[in-house]
Amino acid sequence: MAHDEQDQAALDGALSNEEISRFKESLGADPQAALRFEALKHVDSSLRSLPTSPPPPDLREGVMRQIRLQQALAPASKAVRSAWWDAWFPARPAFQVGLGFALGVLVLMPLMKLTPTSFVDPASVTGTLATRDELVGSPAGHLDIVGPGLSGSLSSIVEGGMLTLQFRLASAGPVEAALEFEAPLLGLYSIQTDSPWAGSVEYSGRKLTLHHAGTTGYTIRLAMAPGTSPRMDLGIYRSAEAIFEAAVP
Amino acid sequence: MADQDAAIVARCLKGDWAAFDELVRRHERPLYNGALRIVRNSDDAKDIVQGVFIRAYEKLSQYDPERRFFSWIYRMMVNASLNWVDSKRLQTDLDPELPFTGESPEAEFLRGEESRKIEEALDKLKPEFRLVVVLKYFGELSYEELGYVLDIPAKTVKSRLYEARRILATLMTDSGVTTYGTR
Repeated sequence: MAHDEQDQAALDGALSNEEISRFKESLGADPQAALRFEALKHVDSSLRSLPTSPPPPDLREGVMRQIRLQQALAPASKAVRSAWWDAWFPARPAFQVGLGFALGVLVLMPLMKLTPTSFVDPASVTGTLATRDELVGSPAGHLDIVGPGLSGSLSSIVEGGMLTLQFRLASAGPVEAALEFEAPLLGLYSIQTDSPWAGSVEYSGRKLTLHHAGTTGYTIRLAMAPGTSPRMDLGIYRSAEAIFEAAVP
Repeated sequence: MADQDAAIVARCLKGDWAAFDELVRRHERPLYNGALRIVRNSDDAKDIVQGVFIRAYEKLSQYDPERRFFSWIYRMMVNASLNWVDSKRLQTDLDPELPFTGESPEAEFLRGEESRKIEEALDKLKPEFRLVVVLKYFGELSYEELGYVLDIPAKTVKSRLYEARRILATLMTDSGVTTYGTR
């Protein structure tokens, strides 16, 4: 074993008793090797004694809040599908081929009616955050919100096939904020809030309703159908009475 | 510990998603410290680790129970942190060495002189060497697991770690932390 391998194994506690004895003998016979090993041992113990930082207290709660939100929004999503599917699907290759063919037909049918420029990369609809972050967004609309006991703003950005809404709302007491989209959307991808949130949300392809109280910033991501308009109407209601209504260009 | 993780993952996949909270509780500290050592900013480390846990939740059905859950999620954290560092470099066109802003001045003071010097020596390592040291000492992974996390052979992990320790020994001798001969 070369000296570096021996040093490493000794530091890792991977030597047998017999090997340790031989290693010690070799160090005794070679003062340079002994110095080298002592220095490495000191580095090892110093690194082991470096303190670690406690994670921020709200890290875990933030994760669980997002998970609860995702479950509330997509109870039938891939993340929460039942375990039987994982066992059943891989064992049925014929079903997989059939499903693949059906999906292929479904994907190709709308493409036949589209111009190439209006094609939405599927990755931008179902892909990862990293993929979407690489896309260049363009501002689509902005709205300042002012009403009785109400203030905030709503900005919309279109990036690839994704519509991102930056929605900030401060209200005295509970309100209902309803966004009605001019064109139906393909799906609600995510909602993130910048603070602990006790509200709730309802979503259909054309309407998203937030039950809100207090001050919260929302980042809402929705998948758009190819070539559709990002226009929407915003209505904010307190006890079923409209206190703010406007169109977002 | 690995068996406990496997049992918790199984509960999650059966629909008991509240159990995921237990996975977060068990692993948030090493993941946060690993990310903090790579991105060197506590807010960014927190965002990265939260994103990694959410991604793990979304991909849990793809997790291979033959592998330790911790090394699976640790790999996600390392990739997310390295992507973050790359994007930060592209955005700011800064020197590759990002300033470490992970701790408050009070916390840094409490860490003591020797720890500070080791941290400084760590900062002087090449990124690939520093990464191996950070993951080895803050993640407590085996060489094989480190190889999986970094997508390199375990043998390469071993040689990088040896080289990193040797350079650190030299740097610490130069900074007066140790008086051993290392050259």
